[in-house]
Amino acid sequence: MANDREVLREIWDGKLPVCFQLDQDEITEIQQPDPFYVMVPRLSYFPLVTDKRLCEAHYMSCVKEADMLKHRGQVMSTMQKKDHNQLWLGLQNDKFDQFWAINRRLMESHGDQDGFKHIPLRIYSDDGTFVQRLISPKNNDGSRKTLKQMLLELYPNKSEGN
Amino acid sequence: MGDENPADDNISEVTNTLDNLNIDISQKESSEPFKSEKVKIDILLKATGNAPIMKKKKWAVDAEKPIGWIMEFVKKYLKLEPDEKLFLYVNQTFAPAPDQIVKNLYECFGTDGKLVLHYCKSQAWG
Repeated sequence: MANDREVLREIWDGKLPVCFQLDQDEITEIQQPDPFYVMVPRLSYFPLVTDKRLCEAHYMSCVKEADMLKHRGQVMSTMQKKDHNQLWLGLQNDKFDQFWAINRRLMESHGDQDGFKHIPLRIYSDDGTFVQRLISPKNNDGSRKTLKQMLLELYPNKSEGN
Repeated sequence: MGDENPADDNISEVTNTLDNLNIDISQKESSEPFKSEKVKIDILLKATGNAPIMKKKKWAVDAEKPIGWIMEFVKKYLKLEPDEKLFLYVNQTFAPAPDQIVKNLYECFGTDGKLVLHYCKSQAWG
């Protein structure tokens, strides 16, 4: 997961085009100000548009929750505070190497455990609600679970073709 | 390049499954994962730090209730002032988002048929 640098980089470099327009109530001049266009990093634009401290707290909580599922929380709990900071600052400041130096440990096997214990996963519906379940990365016979097998496990009454 | 790529089949299969899933999710009734869903979920509320202890700790709550609702419930029960803060934690590790629902947390972190939530009035575990 942490080895495919090319793909990691490609995803990291993804940008979202955003158009900012001044609120009508904020306009004090006769002339309408031009909209402001900017490309923002798709993985780390949140702190630009929302409270930074809230954003950081929510982010760290999500990483801890994911680590609970992946490694029973052992990676996050053995990291130091400065590692947690580096993770967040790397993301916030768009520093790929800084971020991945720490995140790599969260995406690897830990101790004797082979791979992840469970896969952190949320399936969102159109209305914004989401489903979260314990999903093992392996099938009962020890083979690696495919995306399709995982979906059928979550939605068993949905068989192929109907 | 013109050779048939065996991976293509897998990709289209996954796409089909995803398409089916879309249809499924829109029909809420039949799409709920796992059949024997509990309607009510037992939660155990444990005080930590300087938070007052609740006399009744075990509650059966609607599985679809969001964590934000439980936070409000605890605040009312403890008669906290409106400006007092309350933090809820799962596994004494992370603070779930207010819009996370009880069922999701129970499915992933429930033990012995219940979900244990620790509450406190100041940030305890980051």
